[in-house]
Amino acid sequence: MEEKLKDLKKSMDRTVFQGDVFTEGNKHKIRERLKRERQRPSFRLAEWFARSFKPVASVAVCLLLLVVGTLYAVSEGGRSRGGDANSAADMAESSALDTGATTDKATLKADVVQDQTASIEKKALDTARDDGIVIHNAILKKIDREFNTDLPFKQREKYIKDSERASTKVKSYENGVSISDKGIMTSRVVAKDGKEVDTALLPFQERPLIRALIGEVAGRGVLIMKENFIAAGGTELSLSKIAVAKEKAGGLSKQILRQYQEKLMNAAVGKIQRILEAQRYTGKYSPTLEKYLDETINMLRQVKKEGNLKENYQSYLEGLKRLYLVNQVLSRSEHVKFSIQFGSQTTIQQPDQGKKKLTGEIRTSFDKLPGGIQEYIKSQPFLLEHYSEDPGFRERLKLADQMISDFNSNDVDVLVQDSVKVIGPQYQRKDHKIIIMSGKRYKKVYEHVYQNGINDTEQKILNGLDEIGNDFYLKQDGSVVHPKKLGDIGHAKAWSTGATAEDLKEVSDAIVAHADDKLKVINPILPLTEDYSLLNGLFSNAKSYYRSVLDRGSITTGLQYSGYYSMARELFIFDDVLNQPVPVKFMTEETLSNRERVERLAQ
Amino acid sequence: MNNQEHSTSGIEIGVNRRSADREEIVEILMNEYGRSVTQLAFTYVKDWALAEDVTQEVFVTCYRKIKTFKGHSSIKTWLYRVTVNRSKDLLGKAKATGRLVESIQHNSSQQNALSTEEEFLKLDEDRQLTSFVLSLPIKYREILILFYYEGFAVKEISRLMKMNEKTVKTRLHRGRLLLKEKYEGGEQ
Repeated sequence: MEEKLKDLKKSMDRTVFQGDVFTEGNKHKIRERLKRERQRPSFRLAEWFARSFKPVASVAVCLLLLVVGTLYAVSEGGRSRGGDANSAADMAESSALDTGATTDKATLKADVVQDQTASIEKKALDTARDDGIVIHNAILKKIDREFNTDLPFKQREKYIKDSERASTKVKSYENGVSISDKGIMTSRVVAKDGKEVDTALLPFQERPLIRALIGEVAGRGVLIMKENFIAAGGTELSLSKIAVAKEKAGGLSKQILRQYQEKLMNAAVGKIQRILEAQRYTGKYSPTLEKYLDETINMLRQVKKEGNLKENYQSYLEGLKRLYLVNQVLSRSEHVKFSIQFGSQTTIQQPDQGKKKLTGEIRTSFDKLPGGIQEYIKSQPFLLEHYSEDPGFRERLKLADQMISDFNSNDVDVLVQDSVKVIGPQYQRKDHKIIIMSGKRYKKVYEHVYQNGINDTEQKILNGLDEIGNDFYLKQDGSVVHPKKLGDIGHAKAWSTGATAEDLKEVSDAIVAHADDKLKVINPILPLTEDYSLLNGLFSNAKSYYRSVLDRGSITTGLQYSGYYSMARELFIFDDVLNQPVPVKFMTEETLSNRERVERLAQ
Repeated sequence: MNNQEHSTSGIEIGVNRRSADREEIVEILMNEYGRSVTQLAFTYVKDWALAEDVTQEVFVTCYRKIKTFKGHSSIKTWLYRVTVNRSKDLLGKAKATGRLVESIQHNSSQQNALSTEEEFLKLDEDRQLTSFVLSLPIKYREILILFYYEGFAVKEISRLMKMNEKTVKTRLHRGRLLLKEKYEGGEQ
């Protein structure tokens, strides 16, 4: 038996204590309890009364009664004394019951407060539904359309195939590289007359970054719940919570507001800074988002030390709500249909508003579309709105109806895009394509390196690039991964998914050490790049980035990792384009008319 | 400032501090002992949700009472003491309110009325041992767990449980005998 019991630890660990029995969630609950503990006054009169004074007073009263009773008994000639003892016992019991009653009252009070809160929450939710969603709905829809849709990618893929098929004129160069009349280049060259490209649509690289930035800035808020100042973060923050805070703000005294003014201001300033950072990336392909964030900043700027404190706080809450809402939109990976559930509780019902807008000629042209198409557009409020507002879309649909034999809803999805730029800058290696952010940069470097021949200095730069660009940390076990394709880099997004704190620390340590190694390569190479402005820019960026990692000493958030991922991706693509002996295709952007777009679709 | 520094298992804590410091101490203790406390609580209440409640209570108590910790025992012993008390409190309450299902409290001799956990655990040797230990009466179970699972010495257990060393040894002995009986009963 002794032998068996010696294995008790192993046995129990293997059976009942498997897995993490004490999770971050448990810790969080305890922290919340501690926070409430801290907010309780250190001296609680009622409790002190119940615990200390009351029992003592009870005993004193009992003793007094006993003495009085005794005196009475003596004076009455020694009649019954049992009653006194009983009454003393009753008093003691009563005291104990009173203590219990205090607890009961406290519970009751808590219930009442909870009921009130529930009622306020319900009212606030109604307000949120009207005030929050409806007002922002149209703008948010537009942001979603600009930001989240992946339709341009489908469109590009289709066009690339079409273009490859349709290419007839191919110009060959001395080094065996050729370029088609559709701007598709094969092998390592860029045509001298090739159009300069720049992306205006959905760069892979920046979309997660903006999401992370907005997520971070929206994900934490400070709210004043009557006398309590709470920092709600992450999943705790909800539209309803903000709405409740807003509702309750009316009842807050100036004293309380003044007490928390400083914290509110700091929170607002912090948010403004982060929004400005996010805004640097937004303008290119979501002007509506940029405008929306600009308005949010203005609201947050109204949080000041002076003036009407209540209004300041309301401005802060309004800003917080806007951030929360836009984060909901941006964090959706798939196209948002605006009958989705927002936050945890509020469901938005999209009114059939578009129908009303279709009047006159627009209505007539709509009625001419095939029934199925009409139904599809009517089922998607944003399509209906688009149809109403965009003559180009109407024209494309009309043409499509005439030119495409099996015109269907998928075609509508393709044709709805405002942009007529059908190919973003890309490069293609073997069977995978990579959409790149600044195609112009890659093309120029590529052109410079391969059209003029590679000299010794350039070879050294390329060797350095290979060293810093061909490996980085992706997996959460901290091992170095040599990405072979974009899909490998994509794994980096899984930073916070299912990773334990140990995993993350291991990766963080590895990245910091790796940054040091990279700097050792970059430092001697950087002076060699002075005559090559783009490469110089690349190496300088990489140097300052890795320097910042070393200074910080750790990677602790998904956002920081996103920065690492972006840098790694940039280096990887440059290295892949310039150093790997595999033919590379660059594809340029082209502007098509409505008719051309429909024709390509029809093909 | 009446700060006392105590060191145990690599954790140094200063007591009698501001609430922010106390929170920091609790944070450290949570990280170091959160798992053990939950596990220990589970061996009493045999229900993860209840064990979680106990753990919360333990650390909140710790926050409130850390000032009273004199450092005569290790912080771990103190924390375990609180865990044992809170678990027993909760068991008492649960028993009174009928919250715990009776099968958890069943006697091991009732082999035909196995608890769900026993049914689950009896599958192999590990599970059988765990199951038998968890089904022992609480006064033997706690001593066996503290001795064999937590690795406390008899002297430490006696301090933790505030009982005589001889009582600890007796319970340890009887616990082993009961366990043996269970095995013999199970093997028949």
